[in-house]
Amino acid sequence: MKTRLLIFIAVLMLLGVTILGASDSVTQNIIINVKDIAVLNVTVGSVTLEVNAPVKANAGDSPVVSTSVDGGYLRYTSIVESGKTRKITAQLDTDVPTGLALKLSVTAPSGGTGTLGSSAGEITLSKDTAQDIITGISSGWTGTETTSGAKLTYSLEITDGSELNITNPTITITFTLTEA
Amino acid sequence: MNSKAPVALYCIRRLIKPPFSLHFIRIFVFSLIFLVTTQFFGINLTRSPRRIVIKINIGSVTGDAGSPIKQEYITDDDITLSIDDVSNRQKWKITARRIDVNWSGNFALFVKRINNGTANPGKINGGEAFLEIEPFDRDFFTGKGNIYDIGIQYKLFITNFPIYTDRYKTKVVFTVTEY
Repeated sequence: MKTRLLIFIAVLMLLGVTILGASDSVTQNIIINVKDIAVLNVTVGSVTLEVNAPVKANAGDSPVVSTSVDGGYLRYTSIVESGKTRKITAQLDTDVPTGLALKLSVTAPSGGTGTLGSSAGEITLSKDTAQDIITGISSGWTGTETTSGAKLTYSLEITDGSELNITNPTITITFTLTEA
Repeated sequence: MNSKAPVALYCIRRLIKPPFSLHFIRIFVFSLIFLVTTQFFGINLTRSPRRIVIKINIGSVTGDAGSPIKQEYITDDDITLSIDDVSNRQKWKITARRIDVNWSGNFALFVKRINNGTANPGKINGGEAFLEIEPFDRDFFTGKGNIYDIGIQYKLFITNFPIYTDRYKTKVVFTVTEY
């Protein structure tokens, strides 16, 4: 009786393997390593701003300064950790000539992909401090179409006419995409 | 009071009481031998390597600043699966599924077969188009007999942006079954 039962179980197990088939499994680990990415450029490398004498008909008026000079677009690609943000700062390498202020107006990017931050509006650039011009940048990119990116517009402003001198300096502005 | 308790106690007593205890041991030993035998002589699946790393970094930016990052990443051609210990040129099939450890819903992972491997003897069919690996078993390819070093390739496709810096991980489980 017991032997019969054993044979029955053996047949059942063999039948099970025949029907279901032997099987084996292996595992392969797939790791996707997403690193920080921060790439930034500006489409216009050089702009000229001037202070000119008023036209003759208006002699006695204050000198004419450049306003709303197109500075091109800041474009960037950024990948950060979830919950973290970056910002873009701007800083001069040298002082603006006395009697003048150099202003930068930034328009936040429209279009693009991801979280591209918001603009600080218009700021007065300085050598002493790197100033935030765009904050709250997370992962994303502005795109590279003609009008993609954060639009830059420069203006000169006379702060003290009595201090104006004839000068022709080259001032470099450094934009930095950095951790907020 | 639980009326089932005395019944359970009676069953346990009967099981361990001779001659049933000897009978039980016989069944147990037989099952053990059977399991060990099938383990050693059943179909066997191996893979190489154990770990695949796909890197998304600054080199993944498709152009100048402002450009997107690449949406598609394909692994190198050095990933293989081997099937051996197949009994009597038995037919088999391989399924694939994934077990997520730290995964993003923005990722889609695919796998395909890129060659026929080395048959000894054997035959292989299907799996030449990318198959999306889901959290449940999907048929990958079928074959017959022992086949070694079947080349496979993974493709990562980023379905939605943005993505974030992290180390994402999933485990792909390949199962071979005779049929």
